Amino acid sequence: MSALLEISGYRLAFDGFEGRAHVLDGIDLTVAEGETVGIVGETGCGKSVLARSVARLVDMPPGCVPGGGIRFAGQDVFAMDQRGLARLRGHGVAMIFQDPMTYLNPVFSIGSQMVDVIRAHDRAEGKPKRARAAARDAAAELLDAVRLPDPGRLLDRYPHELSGGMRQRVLIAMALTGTPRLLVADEPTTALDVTIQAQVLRLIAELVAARRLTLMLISHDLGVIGALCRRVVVMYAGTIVEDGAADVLFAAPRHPYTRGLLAAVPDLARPAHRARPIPGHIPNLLQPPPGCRFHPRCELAVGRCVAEKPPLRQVDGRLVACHRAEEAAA
Amino acid sequence: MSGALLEVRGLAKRYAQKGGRVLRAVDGVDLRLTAGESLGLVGESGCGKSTVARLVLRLIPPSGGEIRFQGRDIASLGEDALRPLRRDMQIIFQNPHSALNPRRTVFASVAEPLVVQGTSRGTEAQARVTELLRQVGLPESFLWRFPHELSGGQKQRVCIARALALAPKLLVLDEPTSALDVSVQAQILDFLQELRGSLGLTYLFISHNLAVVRQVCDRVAVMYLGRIVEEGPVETIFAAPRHPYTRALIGSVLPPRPSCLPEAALAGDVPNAAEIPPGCRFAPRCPIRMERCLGDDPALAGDGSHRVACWAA
Amino acid sequence: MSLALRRASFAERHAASLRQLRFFAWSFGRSPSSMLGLAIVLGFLLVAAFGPWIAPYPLDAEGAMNLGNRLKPPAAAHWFGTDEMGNDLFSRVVLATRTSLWVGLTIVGMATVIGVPLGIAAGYFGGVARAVIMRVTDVFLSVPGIVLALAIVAALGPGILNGIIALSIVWWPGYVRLVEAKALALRNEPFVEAARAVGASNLRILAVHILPNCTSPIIVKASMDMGLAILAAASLGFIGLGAKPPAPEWGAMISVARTYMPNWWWYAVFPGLAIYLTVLGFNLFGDGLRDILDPKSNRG
Repeated sequence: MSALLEISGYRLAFDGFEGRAHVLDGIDLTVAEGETVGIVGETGCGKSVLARSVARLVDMPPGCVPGGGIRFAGQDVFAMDQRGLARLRGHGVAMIFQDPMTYLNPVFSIGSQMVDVIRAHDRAEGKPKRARAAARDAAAELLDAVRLPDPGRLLDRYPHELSGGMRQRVLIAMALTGTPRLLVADEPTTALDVTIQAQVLRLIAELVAARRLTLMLISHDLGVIGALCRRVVVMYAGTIVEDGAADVLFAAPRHPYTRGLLAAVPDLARPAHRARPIPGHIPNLLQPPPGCRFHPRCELAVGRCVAEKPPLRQVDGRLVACHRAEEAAA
Repeated sequence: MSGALLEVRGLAKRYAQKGGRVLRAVDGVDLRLTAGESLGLVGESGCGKSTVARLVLRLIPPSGGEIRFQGRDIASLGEDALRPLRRDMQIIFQNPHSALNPRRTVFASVAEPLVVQGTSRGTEAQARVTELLRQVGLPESFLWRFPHELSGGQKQRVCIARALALAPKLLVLDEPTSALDVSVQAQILDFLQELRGSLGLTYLFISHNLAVVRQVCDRVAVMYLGRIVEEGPVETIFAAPRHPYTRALIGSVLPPRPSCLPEAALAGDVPNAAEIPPGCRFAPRCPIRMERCLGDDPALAGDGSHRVACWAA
Repeated sequence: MSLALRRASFAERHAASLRQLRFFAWSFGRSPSSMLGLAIVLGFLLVAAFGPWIAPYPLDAEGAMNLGNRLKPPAAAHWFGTDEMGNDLFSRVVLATRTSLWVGLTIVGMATVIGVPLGIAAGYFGGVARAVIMRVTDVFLSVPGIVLALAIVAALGPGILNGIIALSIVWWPGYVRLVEAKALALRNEPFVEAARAVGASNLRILAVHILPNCTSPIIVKASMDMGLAILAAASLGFIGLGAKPPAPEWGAMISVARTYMPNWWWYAVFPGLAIYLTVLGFNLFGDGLRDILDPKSNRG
């Protein structure tokens, strides 16, 4: 398997009124073609900006990259020109987001928006643009592929006439237009009801399998990650704290934050398990704690955790960034 | 009276829509809360659970039905008559970011109930607010902060302090933790549990998160399209759900671990409350639908504690 | 335990507000166009305040006649040249600033006083109150403002005071529209529901929760309208329905000056430049305020 996405030492900061916020601090992540990777973490851990960085969707300024880089299929994302970026977005990386309504224009029908996207992709790929009628047929096929009933009629409807689940399917269909290799899904089902969530997740899983897509799924919901991803990356305050196979990581987390996170989730199947909070709160990224960013909340923290940033290292079949990972067995 | 703090019968809320259609947001709901218990009200978006919360607190007037609070029907009381009763019932909202006026300090927000109800003002109010903040685990230095300087969990604590200011008996919690991170959610849930024990509060806990409800509630009522379809003790409902919708809801919950996707038990979308189907309202999505379900609307029935509205149950 | 029964000091209570102000100043200062607007507005205010001390020939604004100096081009003695009466144009332009300032303030002030309460009532109460207020507003908005103002001035008779009255009458509907939309959105905010849940009266909710959250767009609109109101008053002056010569007013000055174009260009150019700069300044300033006070509504 070859590496499709290589993020190495990637740092991202935002300049604001109160100074520079160090939002991502040395992210190392390599994703091979065909993997399903879940990125989990709480608000402010940097999972969404990391996802957006992959398609270079972070505004700069106020953002800036003090170090590191991202390579997609061997090409440096930050060195691409406008043409290269246009090809990358959609043809290489496709994104779907939490709130589909924000990404659909309310004044145009589903059909006309999809036709525009399809033709824009043709142009980005340097092919002759399809005629509108042909593009419309392609749009109907895509809607059919995401299991939307009666695609022909749906093309003439407007975003507000669709339910949340249908809109998300339309966005997934649009994401597929450029035949992407990597699908980045940022909280794709967070705004949906549980019964609809199950339907949309099933669809994503089927598409990923059928089209051999690489999936990068961003979520705060361990259940969603657990259902769709074979590999889990846990982020905390702009760093990756643990990275490994889902069954290994869920069964025996080694990083104290991963353990805290798992213990904090109420579990319907285990009513006896009381959700346990993680004491303290997330650090201010303007002045992140020195050393390990989790140390102020960590019950295992020792002097070394304050002095020295723990690198990601192999422990017990997964990568952990913790000086005391060996002692942190579940 | 046998200790019912709140008793709701046949509660309804209808909204007239354009084109003469009527949206039946709440369509005949019966609820009963004994003092000191915690009732979970679960359902998907648009099922009317938040409308029930607002009706019970009389933030909106009902279109029909009875709301007995401490034995008195408050369904048709005017705002002036309600004002003294409001001391005994308070609400916590889902999104703490919009539940606090961005232009007011923490002090001003928490002191508002005291000022409005005329219980205390000036230095006395400051002392009371400081005490309330301490009770919800916030330092005195927060008094003069603005909401945007607080984290989500801290804001929710401020909202809880505001709700506690008048020492209410009934607390309606409308998705109190769904806008919060899991680690913070666990903090707030813990705290709410503790509070109920120490202050003897009664909770109407509205949520779409079944795992949370299972943790903090004694009884649970499942709502679908404006009606309660199943109601009973938490243990019974989760161990042996009898309504197909409850089963689908529980089946759709993803456990926090590697799992297979649940077989999509339910097809289709949640229907619109303006187009409630005849017969059983769940029939169009129901996997075990029978002939009878399309014509006859089942009522909530069963033994005293566990009741279901389903012909197949 | 010494629970603080001491009333918190002013500094303690307002520390957060001060931090907020510093943040506003910082973000405002980052935009060059906002700063240019601020500089122009400040300059305008200073000139208005100290006009009589700045103007080299204050009497020229009151209709003095120096026919020997008629229509002199700009020079060291008369920076902006002189007009057909031999009056110093620089003095007249400077002294007209004060007229413009109070014209702008009065019109915008009246419009706010009339429009904001109506808008809040319409948005918060809804129903019949809203229907009545908004339909009346629509009637006013459906007639071009300046045409309506012309009709009113024609009825009242020309003069600067009547011009202001007329412009105030046509100006308030914009505020009703703005505030109604905002109040409508705020009405369903959870913090308003929370206030109702503790038994707060409608009056209290309007004063404490709705109005303070409407101020940002009002301030932004008012600052932009300052420029537009000054322009509208100058337009009335230009067609002879506003201020009457010899009272110094930019619009009236240009009105007389147009007969002297193009040979005596400075007569029209300097009052015109004054109007241009003032309107530009208030617009840039208002834009800057919107960026910091109302970042979400930023350019739609």
